[in-house]
Amino acid sequence: MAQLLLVDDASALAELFAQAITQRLGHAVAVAVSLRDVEERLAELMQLDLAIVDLSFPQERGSGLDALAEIHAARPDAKLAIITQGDEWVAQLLRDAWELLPITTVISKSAPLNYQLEAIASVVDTGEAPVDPAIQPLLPAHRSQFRTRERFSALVQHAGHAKLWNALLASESSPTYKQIADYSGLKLNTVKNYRAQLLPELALHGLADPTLRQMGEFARRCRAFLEPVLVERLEK
Amino acid sequence: MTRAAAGVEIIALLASVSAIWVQRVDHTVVEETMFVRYAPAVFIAASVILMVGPIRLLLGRPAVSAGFAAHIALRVVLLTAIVTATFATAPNWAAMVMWPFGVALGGDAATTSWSIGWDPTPLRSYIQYLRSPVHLGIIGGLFGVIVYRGLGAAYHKALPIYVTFQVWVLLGVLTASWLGSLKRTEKREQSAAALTAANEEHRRAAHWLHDDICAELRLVVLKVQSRSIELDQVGELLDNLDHQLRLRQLDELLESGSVRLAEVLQPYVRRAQAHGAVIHQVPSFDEASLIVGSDVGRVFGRAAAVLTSNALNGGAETIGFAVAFGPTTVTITVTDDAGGFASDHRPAGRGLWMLEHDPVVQSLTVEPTLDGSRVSVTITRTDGNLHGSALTR
Repeated sequence: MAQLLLVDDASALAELFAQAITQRLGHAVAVAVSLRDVEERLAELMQLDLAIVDLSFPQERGSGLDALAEIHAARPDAKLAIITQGDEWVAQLLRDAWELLPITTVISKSAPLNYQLEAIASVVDTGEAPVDPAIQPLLPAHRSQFRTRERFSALVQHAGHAKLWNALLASESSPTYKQIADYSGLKLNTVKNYRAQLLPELALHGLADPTLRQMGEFARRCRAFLEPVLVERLEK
Repeated sequence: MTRAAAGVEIIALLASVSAIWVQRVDHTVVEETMFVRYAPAVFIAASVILMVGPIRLLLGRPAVSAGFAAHIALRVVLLTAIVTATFATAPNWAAMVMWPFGVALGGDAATTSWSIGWDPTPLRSYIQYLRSPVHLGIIGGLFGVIVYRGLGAAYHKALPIYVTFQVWVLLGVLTASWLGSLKRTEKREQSAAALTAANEEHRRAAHWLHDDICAELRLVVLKVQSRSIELDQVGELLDNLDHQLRLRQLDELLESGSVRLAEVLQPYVRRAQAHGAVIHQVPSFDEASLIVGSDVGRVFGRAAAVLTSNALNGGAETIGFAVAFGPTTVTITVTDDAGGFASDHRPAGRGLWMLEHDPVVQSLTVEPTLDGSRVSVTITRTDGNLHGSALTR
């Protein structure tokens, strides 16, 4: 019997799905219905074989990517899977998770229950399962070899870059250079120069000549990978 | 509003160029050195360079990106050249004819501050400048000229320069304030229009929820309560409702003006999956990441709907979806194992016939396979102006 962790804010659906997994596959399932619950569940579970995480948590500050990163950091041996509606709203988040973490499969929330259970059984038994066909068109054919968690340190080469990213993380939807300069305490020209310095590295993350808004969205999506580097650079 | 400000700047610069030219033609300067002779040309050249930015703005082209420092350095050089050329061509009080240049300065200040996201308060800044040590120092200098060189020298030499500068700054401040207030009004009107549109959308969504979704759900509830329906049929009805919701979701995306092909394809892959068909092929993001305009997206969606329905109605157990695109076309191919059909017989008014006769459908081909058929629909892209395209990495 494997131990699973299901992270999904749709609590009624999560409970029913957990029940179906237990009844049909015979695995134990712990449920976390918010990102805050994840840490608590991880502390409770002695063993964790597979974590199935939803990506969208509209009522919370973070996303499923934060939960996946947290689980992977705490339990590197646990397999990771995503369960999602897979619409455009989460498409970029899904690609980030797919490329930055060892995701074994992606399950569509609207797929027939048998199909979902087959995918989970396959991951528990063999360590992998095909991505749901309805989700596949949202994922690249191959994971980019240049996109790794370690590569995030190249996005924060010094404390100045860290200030820029901190300002972008705190920014509203469409920040201006002036707002970023005011928040970070950097000069307007310095903000522009830092952005220009980061362009080649941002291109590796799929951002070609991004606006400040796109950089802010990227920073918020990948907060789990960016923030540790920011803290390290600012402490230095 | 940015275009209007650019227009004001261009007109003011053209008026300044005309004024300096009239000044050069009508008045002969007594001490005509080489610089004085060519000063109008310097003024015109600097004005033309200053006009490049506003002309691009007016034409809706992106600003030339040369770095912030280079931008500032160029402005300083151009303004120095213009000021020097002005007083060389129109010395003393004659420089006052160059007042339109102050308006150009105001237009330039407005567009520059907007481009960096700053909402300036020119009148407050002007009052601060009047009270500043710099300005008080200049006034002190003027008194110094009066005391040491006499009132006449001050009146003919120093005062015209000071007054001309003040007129330029004041006109610049008034122009920037005026443009700023227009910009704020425009922003308020846009916000109000956006709010109205959002409210209208809320009402439309509420109506749709009531009419379509609640009515459908009510139907299921009534059927369950009257025991006139089996559990499998409940599942089927709910699956249909789920599909309707996804089509509605797709409609919303199409209404936004553009859509990714992957998004259009998704509801039909899900539908085939819900009908128990095995999906043996789907495009990856690299193949389906193209963003197309609403019109192309709608025809692509219709093609996906017709081809998927035909395959499911034909009893397909395995279905494959493929997408290909070129600079001018998008092709969707659906392969099934439904046994095939007479490819040359397409009843008028039915799905395939209508697709084939759609003006943007370039071709529709049906190929028989071992156990079914492969149908491809190629759509002409009428959205060539869309920047969005396939993913970059």
